[in-house]
Amino acid sequence: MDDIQLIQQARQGDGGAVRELYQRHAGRVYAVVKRLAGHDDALAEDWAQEAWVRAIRALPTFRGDSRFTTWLHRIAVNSALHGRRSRQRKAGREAPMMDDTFSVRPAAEHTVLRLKLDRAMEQLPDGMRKVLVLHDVEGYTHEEIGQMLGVNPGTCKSQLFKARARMRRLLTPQPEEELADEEMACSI
Amino acid sequence: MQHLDLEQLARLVDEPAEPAEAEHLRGCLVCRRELAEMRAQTQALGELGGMEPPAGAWEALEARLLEEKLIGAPARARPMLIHRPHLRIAASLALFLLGGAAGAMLWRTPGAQPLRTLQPATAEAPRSTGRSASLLSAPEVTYVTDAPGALDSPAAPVADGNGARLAMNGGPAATSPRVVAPRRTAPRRATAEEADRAARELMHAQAAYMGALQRLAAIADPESGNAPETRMAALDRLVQLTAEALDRVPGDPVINGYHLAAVAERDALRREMDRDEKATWF
Repeated sequence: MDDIQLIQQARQGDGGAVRELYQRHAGRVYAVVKRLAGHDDALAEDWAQEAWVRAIRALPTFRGDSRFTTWLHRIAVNSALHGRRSRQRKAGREAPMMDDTFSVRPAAEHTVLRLKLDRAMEQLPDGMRKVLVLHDVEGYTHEEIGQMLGVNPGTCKSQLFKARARMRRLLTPQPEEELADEEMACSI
Repeated sequence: MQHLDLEQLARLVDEPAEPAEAEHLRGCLVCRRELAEMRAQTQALGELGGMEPPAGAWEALEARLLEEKLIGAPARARPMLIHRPHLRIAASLALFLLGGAAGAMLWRTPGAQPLRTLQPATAEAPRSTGRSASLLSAPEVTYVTDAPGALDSPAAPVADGNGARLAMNGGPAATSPRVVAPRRTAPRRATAEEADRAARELMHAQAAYMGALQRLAAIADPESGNAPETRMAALDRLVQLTAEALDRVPGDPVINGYHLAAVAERDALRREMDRDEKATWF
């Protein structure tokens, strides 16, 4: 059954169809909100859920002009960007929570390089990370990103080049001696 | 020589170089190498795929959809079949890393045996105990990991009619060579600790690669003060080794960048030496 057929059933409130759509696309939705959220896994989960609720709510308006994945992906990005703004407004009122969810994830689920890239992205400042994720990972143009973030494309480009440079520094391995020293320090 | 800064190189990933930048890139091995790696980094980011949502995410969503009456009844339970594109991506990304490891190993070990396979560091993949060298599996080497504790022990090669096999030295198997059934038994599932160990090995390999790059840059740098013959010898060796590595991993972006930069640098040095020779013929 293709996405269009599932969408038609999901519009009627068919939980099975919604679940099937979720199973097909949850990985991509979660990936984009997680990368935009940085190290905050709990926030990413909230945003992913919000994106799905919005998408299911908006299914009757989905006309099929674009692919479902593209439409859904845009909703996920908007949910994350909107979520970011909400969280920033709340930041002054709420005490930050300790985030230990990342450390308990099973390491075997991740591949080494993907982990390195994702961890490096988490270390970028918010603005740089958003632009890098949206451009280099998700493939949006500077014009599209500018519209989403409310900045001009030139600013977006400038942030992207800074982000790539920062990533390069973060990903450049330490010389072997330093690595050995670091391991020794860890084993003590 | 003033090198291009990282932000300039980041721009050159998808925009044309200004004339001065292009001129600099033509003559600077270091910047060409940096640009090649920046491009590889960008390509790797573009190939990042989905992430599996945390356990319980569907149940939480379903509860909310029910609460908001967006679905009529709980969905029929079915096994979660989240696509895992990261396994495919892992292969390409690991190639990025292991390509570096290949370069490093070839650079560091003159006369090394040809490299036939590079195994990505997925949870299912290499289960070796050695350091970076063990990541580069020779044509007919099998990693045997079914013995308890095998991963904590050094390896002992055991020869058989089909070529060397690598038996792990764990328990009774350590004292008596045994015939290893060729991959008929179900592979033991890797643990998170093993994946971490593989990650560390990859990091060592990558560090070795970076060390090799730095040595090359130091020897071949026109401003190093090294004699042209010394620089040429280093470049000849590098071109040869990276060409051999590319026979095995032709798509590796880092080795490609490394190779092309070395070839261009060698050509430039050759022209320079020819000019000097003509100028000093007397």
